[in-house]
Amino acid sequence: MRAVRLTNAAGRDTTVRYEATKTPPSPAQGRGGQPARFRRYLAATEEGLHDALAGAHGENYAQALVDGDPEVDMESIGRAIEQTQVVFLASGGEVMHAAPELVEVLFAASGEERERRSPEDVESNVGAEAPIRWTNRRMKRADVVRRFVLRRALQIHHVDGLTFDYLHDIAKDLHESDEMVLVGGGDKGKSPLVFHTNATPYRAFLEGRVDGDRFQLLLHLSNMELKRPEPKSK
Amino acid sequence: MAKPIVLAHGGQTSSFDFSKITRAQIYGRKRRIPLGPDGEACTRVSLTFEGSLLLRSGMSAQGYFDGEGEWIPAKELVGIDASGKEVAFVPSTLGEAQPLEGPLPAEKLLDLQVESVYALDAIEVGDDLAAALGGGEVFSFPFNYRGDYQAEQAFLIGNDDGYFALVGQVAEPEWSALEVIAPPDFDEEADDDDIDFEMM
Repeated sequence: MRAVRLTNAAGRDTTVRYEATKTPPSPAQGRGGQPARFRRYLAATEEGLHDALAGAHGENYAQALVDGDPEVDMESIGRAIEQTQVVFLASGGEVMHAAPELVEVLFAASGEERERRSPEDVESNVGAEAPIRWTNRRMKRADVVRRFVLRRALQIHHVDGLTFDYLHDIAKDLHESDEMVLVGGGDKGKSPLVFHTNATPYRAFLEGRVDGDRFQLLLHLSNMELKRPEPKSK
Repeated sequence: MAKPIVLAHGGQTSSFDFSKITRAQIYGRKRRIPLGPDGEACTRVSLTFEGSLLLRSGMSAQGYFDGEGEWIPAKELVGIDASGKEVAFVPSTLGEAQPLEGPLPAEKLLDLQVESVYALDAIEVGDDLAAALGGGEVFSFPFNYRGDYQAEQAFLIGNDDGYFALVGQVAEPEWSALEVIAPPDFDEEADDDDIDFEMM
């Protein structure tokens, strides 16, 4: 479990741990009671791709495929592909031996390109150094689920007796008011949470549940409001 | 067009056409494009680990193989659980009336790991259901877009923008008790696969 600093309503913070909530495992694929192995394999060599076949046999090479199987290299096809490395090819097809420059392209919701710019790294603001802070925005659970798509949840765990009391108090407060509190990163807690460099920024809501001496404290993450896209203009 | 979502509730049947919503459709998206020395976009390909083969688009495929290395056709694959027992096939739920469970507390929906969001367009909605959704109630129903070996759970809700179905698997958070202390972070690398926060 990873460490995270979390503040409470009074602005006091402590270091606790979190992990993703887990769903039941999906059934494996198999045959005859034995699990199958999912593998990537070589389906064609360069000589079997469209451009090469069209060059060798003309654009209408269907009959050539029927007559002579020129697309099948019996020595190579079916070979398992295990580990690979990423390589970039320049526009002329030659292998690049230096890392490429990157450009960040922004697309509008309509799909149109809006802007090109140099990419800037977005640093993480979650961890043992930077606390997740409470904001003043508390909302009823029923309202949050109808306004935001909460894609995943992280469960906050205590690390000792003191943090048990600390987290239990937060969970109890939220549970009894049936509310969730918007939390965030940065000095004022207004920034979305970024869990590692260049990761998706998420808005986050803290939710608490209490059952006697036990508690659940969940950090729900959202990067999308629950609404319809604007209709596309014709 | 896919068959509609059909739901049975309180003796009435409601049905909805549906369309998937993505974040990019609402907010747009950003993409990082690698450029070559000439300023033109590069192509990303794979090089086999030993360096003998450059894999361009269209050169690889993937599939399931048995222990002997024999390819298994998709129609022969079945779902099996951890004990090797065959799992029952779950047909598509589309076009077939599904029982609606609810109203449910919001916590039930909060436990959903959302994989898909659908905007629903009502073909017909029962009066009771329309009133309940308008009042902010949450309902749940089994959902399986196409037949396979694992059904998903869908939650039906309404807001000012209309009706929506959120689909995914339901997680079961553990209760934290005083005597159960979170283990220290011995292996940060091992946790990397648990949560995917990569750029979308």
